[in-house]
Amino acid sequence: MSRFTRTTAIVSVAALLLMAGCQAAASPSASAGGSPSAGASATANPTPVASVPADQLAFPGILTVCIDIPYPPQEFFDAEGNPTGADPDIAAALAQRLGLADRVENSVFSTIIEAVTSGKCDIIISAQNITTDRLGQVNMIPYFQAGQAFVVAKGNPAGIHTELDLCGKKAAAETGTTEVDYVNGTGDYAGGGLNKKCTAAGKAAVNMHEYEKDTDALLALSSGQVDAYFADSPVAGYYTVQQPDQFELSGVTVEVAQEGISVPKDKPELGAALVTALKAMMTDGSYLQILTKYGLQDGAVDISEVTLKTGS
Amino acid sequence: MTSAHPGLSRPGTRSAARLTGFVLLALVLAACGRSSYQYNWNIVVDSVIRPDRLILSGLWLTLSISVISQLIGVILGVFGAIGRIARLAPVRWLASFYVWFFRGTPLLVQITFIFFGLGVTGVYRWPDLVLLGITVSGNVQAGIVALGLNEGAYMTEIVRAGILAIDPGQMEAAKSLGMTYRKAMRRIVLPQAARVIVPPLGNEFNNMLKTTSLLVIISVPELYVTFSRKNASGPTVFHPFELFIAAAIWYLLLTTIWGLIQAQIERRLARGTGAAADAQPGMIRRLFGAQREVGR
Amino acid sequence: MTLHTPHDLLEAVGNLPESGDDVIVDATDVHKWFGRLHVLKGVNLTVRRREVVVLIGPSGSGKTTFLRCINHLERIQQGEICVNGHLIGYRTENGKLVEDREREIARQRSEIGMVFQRFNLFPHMTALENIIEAPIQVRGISMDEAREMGLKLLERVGLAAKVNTYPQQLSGGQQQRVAIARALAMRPSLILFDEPTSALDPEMIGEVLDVMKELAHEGMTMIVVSHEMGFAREVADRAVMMDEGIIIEEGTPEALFSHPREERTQAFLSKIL
Repeated sequence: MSRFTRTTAIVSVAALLLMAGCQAAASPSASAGGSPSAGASATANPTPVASVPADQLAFPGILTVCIDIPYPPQEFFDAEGNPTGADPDIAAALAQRLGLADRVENSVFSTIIEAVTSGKCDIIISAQNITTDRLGQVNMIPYFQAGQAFVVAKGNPAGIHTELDLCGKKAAAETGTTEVDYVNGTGDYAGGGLNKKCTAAGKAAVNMHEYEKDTDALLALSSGQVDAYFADSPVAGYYTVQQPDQFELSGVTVEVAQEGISVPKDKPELGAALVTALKAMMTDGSYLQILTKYGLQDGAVDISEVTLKTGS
Repeated sequence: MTSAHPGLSRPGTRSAARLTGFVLLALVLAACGRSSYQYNWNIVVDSVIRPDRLILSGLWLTLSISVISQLIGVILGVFGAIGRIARLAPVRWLASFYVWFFRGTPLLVQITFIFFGLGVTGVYRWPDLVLLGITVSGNVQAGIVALGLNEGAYMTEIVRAGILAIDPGQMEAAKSLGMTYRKAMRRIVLPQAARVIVPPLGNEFNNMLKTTSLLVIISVPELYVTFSRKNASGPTVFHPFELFIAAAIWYLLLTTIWGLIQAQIERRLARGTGAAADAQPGMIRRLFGAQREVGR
Repeated sequence: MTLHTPHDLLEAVGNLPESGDDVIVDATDVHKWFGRLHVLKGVNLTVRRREVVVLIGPSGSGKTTFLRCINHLERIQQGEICVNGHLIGYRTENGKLVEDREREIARQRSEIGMVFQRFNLFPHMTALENIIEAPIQVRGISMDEAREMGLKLLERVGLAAKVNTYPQQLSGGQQQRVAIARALAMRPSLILFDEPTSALDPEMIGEVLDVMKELAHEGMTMIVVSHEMGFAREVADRAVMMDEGIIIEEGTPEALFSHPREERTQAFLSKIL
């Protein structure tokens, strides 16, 4: 046969074999009980309260956690460049109670859900609000709650005191956050949101600048590019306390909502194990201890809220 | 290889083969996916056939930023090239330094430095400007400046190579007729160098159309960023597969159209070269690969 | 190819510019180095109006280099060259010689024509455009005036049919004739020829030499670097022999070719005659 026909035939057969092979690999294999690994942190080792099947972990014996760092004080880097903050600490404590070591993967927030559903990491603990869209992709376990706040430059030069003062002005936030949803009226704020209120009041919409890293959104405020920086209240509060000569709270806030640990839907045992571990942390006081360490005790959730939310 | 395989030498067949390959690849990827991922092919169709306001505005930004930045780059490139071969040492030094710096640092660093670096220190805060009734946002301006400066360094070397490719006898003949260096450059050398420069310039613009996506870092909502944000929030959230296939299709559209335009420009500039240019195969053939045409 | 009666070529450009000076080129003790290589070691040459001088010599003798010094395409490190009574390439400032301003050099060059071995026609312009480019750009004459002169010149060199042809479509001999017309369009008082027929196929040498002879008959001052002895014998007033950077002998072509005094001249001539 001609070279053209032969090439086509080979490519087609190869493609079919690939597809078949992928389908076979996708079907779940028999789950085996996970063994606790050595190498967990040395101090005050709590005994494991649950185990995770090995095939539900990206790396055996390790709980790989996706976190978008920095978002202080929930996650940031310490002086040596190691991840620290409420979320990494909670992640480490959970891993211990599962008999696993923990590893943090610094991620980009706008694609963090894809990172966990594609298996790059096992779970996400990154100040994620529980939303309908996210529940469509992952299961979430409530572990914290917080509101959202607008930060302005010191002296509030743009005069932002109420929500509607933001209309027609420029604001910065991180891509993929509920902050963006709130202003644009997408996600769980569909049909509502700030811009809808602006147009209803006959004003121009908020000019939203989205940044892949939250720190760049803050930089936009400090370089004078935008009039306000929009983030979760703990974070907003952190920056205004750390740099009071640069930033202040505008006083404009959005209501408190729950944040959750994201677990892929096809890893039910992992989800169940995490629920058990988190409850154990709340019972023995380590959960509140961690939050208090970072001044976040007001965002604690009650143990009765800790379930595996699936959105159905 | 001789042309004993008429099947692949017809231009339409080659591009059909590539398109089939693309579709086959997408199908293989899809089949290898998780059973729980809900494919929504409407996203691809709607984004390409019925692009919404966001996509159109992203498209417009990518195009306008690319064109303006490339123009700036070409102008800087011509001056830079002439500077690189100037007789005055300080001029040569300045031009060489410019090229060394902007080719030696990553574009991403240049973009963030120009926008954030100058902004936070207060050197220049990039306020919005209103030009001819259009508001040009500060980050777009900064992006254009960064892209333009960066491109100018690469164009300097391309233009310089083009000038050096011209027989020095041309400059001598021009001078012997009484033309000054500047006049000879403008009338004799640069027009000829243009023909040499167009193919690599076409390549540079092709790159520029895609490089504007780096402006995501300063929140410029161009084409890639628009799709990236659609993946992060809104009705099409968490569908990167379909969204970025749609983005790829749009970029292919842009770069393919540019390829056609470039072929036309090359053709017009080649007038007067006689046999070689007139025997060139048609636009479409040259675009989709006409290797097997030669030697018929 | 038909050439008309004498005076036609120069008539096409409105004849020679009138100038009082009888001496067109006066080179005194010209030295030039290429790096450490001493290529011109004290060249002295005077060329008068209407003279046709042929420069001969082995390769490396410096004859082409010297020719290019006359219109300052090459710099000299010592000595002086005066063209049309003015120092070329340099001016005196505070008693010292400094390189002249580009504008001034360009102005002087516009009065000196040059024809190159490799023609150097502008490939992105037609034959006519090649010819009228400098008059328009440098002298500022109008497009119509230039076109008229250009067409006449092309006709005079026998290429009226090639007005809109590009150089790549012309034969070597045709290209060189266009190059001569291009040089003439600027109405120079002197034309320098740098081996004008060396790059031509033998059958085309004649047509170019014919044009050059015509020019000589019409009274153009010409300095020609060439090996074409027949041309030299026919129209040259003087033949100058150069070797290793200096003029070693000169005289009328008959005298030089038939009875060379220097041994090196004899050796060189025996190889090419």
